[in-house]
Amino acid sequence: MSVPYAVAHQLGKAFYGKRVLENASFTVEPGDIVGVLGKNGAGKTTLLELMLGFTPPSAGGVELFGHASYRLPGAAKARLGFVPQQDELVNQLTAADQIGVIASFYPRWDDALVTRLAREWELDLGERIKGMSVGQRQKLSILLALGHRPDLLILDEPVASLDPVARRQFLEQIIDVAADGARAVVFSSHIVSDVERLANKIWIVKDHRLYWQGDFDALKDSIVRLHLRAPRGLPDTIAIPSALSVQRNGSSATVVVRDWSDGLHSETAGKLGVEIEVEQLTLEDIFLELHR
Amino acid sequence: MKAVARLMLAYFTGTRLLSIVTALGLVAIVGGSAVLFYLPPLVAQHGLPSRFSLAEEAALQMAPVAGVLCFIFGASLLPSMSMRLVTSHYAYVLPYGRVKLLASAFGTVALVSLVASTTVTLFFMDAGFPFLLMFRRGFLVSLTSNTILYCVLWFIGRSSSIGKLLGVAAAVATLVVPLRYQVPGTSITPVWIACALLWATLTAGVLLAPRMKLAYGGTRHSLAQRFGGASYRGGGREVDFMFGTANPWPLALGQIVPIAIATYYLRDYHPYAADAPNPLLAVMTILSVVSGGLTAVAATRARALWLRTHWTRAELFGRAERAFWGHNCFVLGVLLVALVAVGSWLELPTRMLVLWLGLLMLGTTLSTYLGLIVTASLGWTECVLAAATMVALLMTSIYTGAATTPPATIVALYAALAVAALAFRQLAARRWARLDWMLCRADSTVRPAT
Repeated sequence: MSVPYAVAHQLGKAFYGKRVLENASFTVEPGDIVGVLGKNGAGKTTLLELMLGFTPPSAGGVELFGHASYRLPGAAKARLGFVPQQDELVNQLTAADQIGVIASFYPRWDDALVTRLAREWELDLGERIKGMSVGQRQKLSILLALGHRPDLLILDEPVASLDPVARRQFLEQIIDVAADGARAVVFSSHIVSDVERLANKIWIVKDHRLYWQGDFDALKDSIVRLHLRAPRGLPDTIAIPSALSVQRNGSSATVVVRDWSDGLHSETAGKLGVEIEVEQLTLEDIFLELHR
Repeated sequence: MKAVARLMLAYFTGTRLLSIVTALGLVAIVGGSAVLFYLPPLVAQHGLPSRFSLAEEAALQMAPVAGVLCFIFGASLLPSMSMRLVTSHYAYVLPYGRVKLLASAFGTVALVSLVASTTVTLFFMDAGFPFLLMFRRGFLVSLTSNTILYCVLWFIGRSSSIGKLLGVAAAVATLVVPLRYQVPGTSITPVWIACALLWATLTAGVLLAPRMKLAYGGTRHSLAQRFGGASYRGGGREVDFMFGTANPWPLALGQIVPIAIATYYLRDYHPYAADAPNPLLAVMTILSVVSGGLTAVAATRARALWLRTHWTRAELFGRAERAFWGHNCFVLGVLLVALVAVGSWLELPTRMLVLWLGLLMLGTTLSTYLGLIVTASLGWTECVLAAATMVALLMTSIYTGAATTPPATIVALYAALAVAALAFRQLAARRWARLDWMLCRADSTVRPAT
């Protein structure tokens, strides 16, 4: 059993009496690639910032590498990488200078990796940051977070400004980062297809709560669309536990359910007197159904 | 240690211009000091025959001083860059980020002060002062002055680029206050206290920033709730709101503080000669250009108005000119009233006061149009024009402040400055007619870095 990099217990945050996150408990272990999904304002960024110790929690706590994240020692920070939503680069410097400055803070910095990625991502390190496009700045921010080969990489909507080619290259790089099984990545994104392609764990933040978390495959098995057919007519009430939505259409109905299992299948079919066909949903469908 | 050194290197060499300025400064310091040290007799103090003309001697003596100023300006990336990093997520995620950033800031100011105090000590070595005493005093005074200077640079740099240039001038003026403690015999205790307080405040600000931010946010929130929640109470017209000229009073009244400090320290000033410059007028002249410098943001902010209104670029220029004059008139008005009040208290001659008032009006006019010229990122033309304007204004203030200058000379100088202001206006109007917002894009996310 590996030691988790991040552990949160009953984590909550309120700003001036307004709750923005509550009761979030989770663990991040080496090898995890966690995709954080949620609508705007659901609490994703707050969750990530609490993890990073940017702000103290109002309830519960989160530990990174065994330390309270709000009081993270320098040695633990050296194992951490972060890419914010909006870059915070120094405009007057060149990309190479900015890299030089940030690299000097870390005891181990992989120059070869940074140089290779800069070449692959067509990033001119001699260019002044002020003259860079938003996408180039984002690439540079990602390079700065990867250069010290962090054990835990946290990214807040890192691909929002990237073109499809750069996005794909970035995703491949993230897979590379986590490939050795010793590192973990937590990233939030609105591009569900990217999360689907990359993540092996999903956190869904809804209404300021960590509404669902677990393996991606478990999520796909858990939330499914049921097609009910009843030749002799459907009952007036389709009572299925954890139904998220029900759509009737004559003698058939479509129901999206949560926490579905084989046991429930036969039990529901018998109780309602219907034939049930189970359809697996894509992550995007699941996300939309959860927010319907 | 590596990070601190790398940061310090970046402060001095972050841009090509700063690298050149730093290198020139070092060359001037080392070369000038060597000349002063090894090539006596530079006979200003010796009374011996000299191999140099008086002009050459003056140039040689000025070289190390100019070098020190270049070296100080060479690190002008320090305030914007360090504060950018301190206020960003880097302060949280970089290992020992806050401590190293603070150490790099202190190291840079200390290095600059070390160079300055060494140069000053060498400069006065032949005057018979004890070497160590001069050096200690010089270092402490420089450390305090330079800390203030970089703080001023940061504060002014938050609003505009041209403000940063003006900030240099304003900060140089603040040197007047601590420099009086350089003279042996005066008590150094106030400088110790000021320096300790400054760095204690900065250290607390950097290390406790997250907690202070939370406390500040909480206080602001509770105050907003208590008083109805509205945060903007400027009122006024949309144009003023867009340009940020709706409320001139903070700046107008804020000037009173430096004026009061300068008056307090300079109240006993007696010129050693009738043609000696008057430092109080120099301080006032510098203040007169600050409000004008704010117009450098006008072109950037005009984009929002252009999108919302039917005005052409030429009409926008007219609106901007009017809006900023509406703002600057209040600031200038307070400055003029302050000058009259100070002049009356110090019993300055009426003729001198009238001339001084004219110079302050010219200062605001020149800087207003100088700011309006900025329609793209700051280039060589703008830098040279700004520097030349400041030099011209300060030179004029020297002539105006000296009792022996003939009135005709002063009138001629004022006329030249007025012509320059008209020329700046023409240039600004021409630039605004082909304003390109791709070249003066507002970038709120990176504002602290500029």
